[in-house]
Amino acid sequence: MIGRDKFILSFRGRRRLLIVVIAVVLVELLSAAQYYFTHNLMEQELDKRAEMELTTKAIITKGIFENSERFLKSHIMEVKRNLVHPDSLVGIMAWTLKYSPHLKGCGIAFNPGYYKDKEYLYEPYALRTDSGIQCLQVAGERFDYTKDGFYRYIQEKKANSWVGPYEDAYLKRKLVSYAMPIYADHGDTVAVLGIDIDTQNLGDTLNSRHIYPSSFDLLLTEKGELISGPSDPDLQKKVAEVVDVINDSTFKKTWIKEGRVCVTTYYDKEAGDELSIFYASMKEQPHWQIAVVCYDDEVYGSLFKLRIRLLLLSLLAFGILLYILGRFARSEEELKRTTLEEERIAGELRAASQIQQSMLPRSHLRTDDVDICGSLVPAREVGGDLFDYFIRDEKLFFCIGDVSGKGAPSAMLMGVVHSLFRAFTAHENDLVKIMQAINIASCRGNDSNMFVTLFMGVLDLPTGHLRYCNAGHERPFVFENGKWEIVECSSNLPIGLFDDMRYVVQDMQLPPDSILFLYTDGLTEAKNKERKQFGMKRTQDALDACAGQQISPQEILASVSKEVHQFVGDAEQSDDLTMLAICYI
Amino acid sequence: MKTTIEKLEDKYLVTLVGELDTAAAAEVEKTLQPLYNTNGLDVVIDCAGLEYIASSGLRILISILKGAKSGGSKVIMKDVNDDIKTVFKLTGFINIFEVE
Repeated sequence: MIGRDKFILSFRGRRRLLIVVIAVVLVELLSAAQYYFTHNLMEQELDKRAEMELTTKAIITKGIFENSERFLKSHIMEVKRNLVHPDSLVGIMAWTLKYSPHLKGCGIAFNPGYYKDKEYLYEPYALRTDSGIQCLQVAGERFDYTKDGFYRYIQEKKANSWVGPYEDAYLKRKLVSYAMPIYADHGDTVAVLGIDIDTQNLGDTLNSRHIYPSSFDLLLTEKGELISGPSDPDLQKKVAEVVDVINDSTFKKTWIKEGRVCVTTYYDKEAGDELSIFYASMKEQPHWQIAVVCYDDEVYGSLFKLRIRLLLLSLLAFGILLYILGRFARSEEELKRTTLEEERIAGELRAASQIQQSMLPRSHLRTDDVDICGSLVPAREVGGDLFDYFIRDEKLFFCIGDVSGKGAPSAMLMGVVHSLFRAFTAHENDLVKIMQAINIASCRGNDSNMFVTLFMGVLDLPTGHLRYCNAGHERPFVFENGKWEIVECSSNLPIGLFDDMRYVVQDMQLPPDSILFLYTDGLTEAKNKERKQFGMKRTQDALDACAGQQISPQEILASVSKEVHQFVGDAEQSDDLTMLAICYI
Repeated sequence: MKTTIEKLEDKYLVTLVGELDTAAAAEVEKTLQPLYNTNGLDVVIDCAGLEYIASSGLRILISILKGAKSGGSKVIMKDVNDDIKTVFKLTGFINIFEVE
């Protein structure tokens, strides 16, 4: 039985678990969908931000370019005029370099051998250093500008141009330069005027602000050569990787913002994260590219953290839900078990009630000598009242009794006493002996001190002589000479208390057409809603109402019963109601 | 239904107030169970406040009485009201308890 219960429990438990699991899955799917859409929105935001960042940096860079170009163009005339005074040239450059803090240096590289009285390779140069502006002649053994530097590039290009980046042999730095050829009157170039910008400065300017903590910006040439980036030495390896990715056509590239910005992503093994690279080309010469790099973790990190937190919270919530369901289920099971138990008990009581009812004598008996009617209505399914009668050898043996208490325990004792009555009256006529025998038998094994009030009588039918004994029971009424009166009884103790009781038996003569009315305290103590008892007086009144006519025991019982029910009304029946009416004909 | 027990020098004093019907009997029995064996001390039951006693209540009194008898002591019922006195007379209980 227990095993079967366990099986049933776990089946229900599994079903419940399944329901919760489905609910969890649905919520998780919903949550995942939400995550997906939020991620998409954030991606769009990132695109916008990246584009703004690129635009801003492009403006800054363009600003630097324009400044540089303007600087040069504004001084070309002065330089040309002072070509004949080479020594003054460097002064001019130094002066104006002072007012262009973003420039590293400014120089003029002359065609080799231009000045007869100067060195073969002659490049006066103004250089910005930490201690101020230095005026130098940079050409010589260390630096041959015909092989390197802006002179060489412009000679090839023969036009104003941005050149670089390149490693400057003299300064030992990476530079970009803007240079323009200087033409003599005869139309050939005699020198190249150029300004140098330290790419590191450019890189630092670009990286002065980041859109995300680990983001950085890069400046690349049209062809994808790195000009500058962040100066942090730890980032250089990453920078190189990013440059490679930008130039590697095998990486998928997506065009956004009407094709102006290109996005590519790659997985950075070292950081364990996905990198997004946004880059765009500047609209003007030299069409350099600016790239902004960000880590997915930083972009979506908060979303991911949120998702994890929500996931944990929802798991916790489901855990609680499962626990609550479990508790409900358990109490549900308990309730079911209790209900089943109650139903079982109720069923058994119903069965017992039927047995008890079948043990009673016929409710109505009419012979030539007597007319008997009895009724027993238990307060619960089984009761502690009893009545019995039978005729043997022209004698009517009858009894009415009430076991202390009510319900199943009383019913059991009632069954015993009933059987004892039948047993001892089967062969014995002496009432004293019968009462004693029943009493002794009832006292045995009666630890709980339950007792039975009993009124027993033996009526000799030919003569109408009645012997009776009242053991603690209600005094019966007798109807004779047109009146109902109470029968006088000596008070004996109820059955089942003291086995040495001596019972006093009395005698009485019943005239013809007299009626004996016996009852239990269920009648006199019937309570109405106000908890008032029916009482002896009302019982007397109810009987007096039946006094006049030739009334049968059946009618008496019906009439009294009606009175009691009217009195009690809706109140619950508080005790077993038993009545027995015997008419001696 | 209120039940109180007080142990005095030479006796137990029990006070019963209310209606001792079948419903109250279980509770009262639990309270009065220690008195089923009084070791020779008398039991005085103050019934001034006792309105009604049902057969289940009588059963409890019988148990106390039997216990007292075997110990050689008495059970005295004080200030019993008329209704209950009548019942005691009719049932013969008046002969086994001392009713004042």
